[in-house]
Amino acid sequence: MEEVKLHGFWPSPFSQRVIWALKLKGVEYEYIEEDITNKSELLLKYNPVYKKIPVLVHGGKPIVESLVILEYIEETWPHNPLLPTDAYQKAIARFWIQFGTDKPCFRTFFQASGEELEKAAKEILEILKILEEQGLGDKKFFGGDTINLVDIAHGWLPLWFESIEEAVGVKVMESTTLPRLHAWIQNFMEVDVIKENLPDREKVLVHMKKLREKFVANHSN
Amino acid sequence: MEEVKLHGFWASPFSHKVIWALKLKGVEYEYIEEDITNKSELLLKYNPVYKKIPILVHGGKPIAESTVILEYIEETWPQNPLLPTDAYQKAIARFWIQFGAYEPYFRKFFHASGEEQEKAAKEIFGMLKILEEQGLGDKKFFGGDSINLVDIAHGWLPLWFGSIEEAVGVKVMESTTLPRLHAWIQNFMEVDVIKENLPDREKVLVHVKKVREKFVANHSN
Repeated sequence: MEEVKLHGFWPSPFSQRVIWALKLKGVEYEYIEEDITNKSELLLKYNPVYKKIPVLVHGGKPIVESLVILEYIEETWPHNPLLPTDAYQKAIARFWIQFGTDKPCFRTFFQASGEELEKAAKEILEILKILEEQGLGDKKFFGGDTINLVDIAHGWLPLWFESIEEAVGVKVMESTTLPRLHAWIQNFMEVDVIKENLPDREKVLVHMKKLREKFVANHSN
Repeated sequence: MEEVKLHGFWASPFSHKVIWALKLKGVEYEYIEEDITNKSELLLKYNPVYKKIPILVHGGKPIAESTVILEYIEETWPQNPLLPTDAYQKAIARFWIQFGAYEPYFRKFFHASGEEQEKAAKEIFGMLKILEEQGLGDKKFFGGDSINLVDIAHGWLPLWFGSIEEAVGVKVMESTTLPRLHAWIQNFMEVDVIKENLPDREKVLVHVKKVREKFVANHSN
């Protein structure tokens, strides 16, 4: 059994995704906290391209980019599958995993103000509406009765995106306008592995507020 | 054997990626040309989320998003593998497939002018330098001696990005500054399946120029 290490950062939703997958699979791992304001030599060696966490190191070999890591985990530890086995259903799952990930409106929402912020909020609402109506539908979780990689991929919406909404002072995820997503959030946050592996909400909010201040200052320049 | 159909657009690099993968696997398929300025009911039914091509329809079931389609093809027709079988090498391949994929600077390079475009050109150059030095290295292809999904993913660079460079009047991919990439382009364009499955270069250039004019008009508004 080769050793597994995860280099992460406590408020990052991206390293949290990897923690959730490892825990769901019952994989033993060592967690290494990285100070991203003062990146370690090891981090720079493991991820020379992006210099970012999370980095999964399995038997000394590093893998980066959270979605690539999740696929690797799914393949390497196939028990408690987190993707459908049917190729077509797997493709549908991968579609919903990537859905919304490349959209600049999330970054704009975090960094901008005024009209630009309003526009980003509208775009996010549209994305989330499609996600809940066509991705989730009537299901309890994206994975059906239990969570899978699609739930994990969107698992940043509670706590992390909620903290960003609070830091920015604009709420997008209302239970009235996104009822299914709201229900999904309640259910998701009740799952044991999720519930037991969350950063401190207040600390994340402080962190997001600090980032917001910095971004707003830079954005207007 | 369930029938395979591909809804594509003649000028799109994304539908060509799917064509290349199907051809490399020797999969018989029916190609349906879509007029993206006048989208068919079928297209809208098959891809309600993005309303885009390419769409692969296998046994009546549609799959959208070219990267998702490519993974589906790899899994469904495992002959002539286009991804490494080793989980770690597969993760490395997936890293390089996603590298540079969603970057806003490609769009900026295409739409903008002046300083904004210069900045985008520099960012693209930076990304291509990393791609050739760390992704390709000394290999003939990203896949080694033969092409794989990583080569296919970046296969838009020769003809399509080359046309954009011409339409925009700014060259980023010089053989002097990106020698390995330049060599890779020569080799890639010589592969039979690629060579035999390319749109007319002149027609693509005309198409790209038209699209550029429209963007520049909208961008300055």
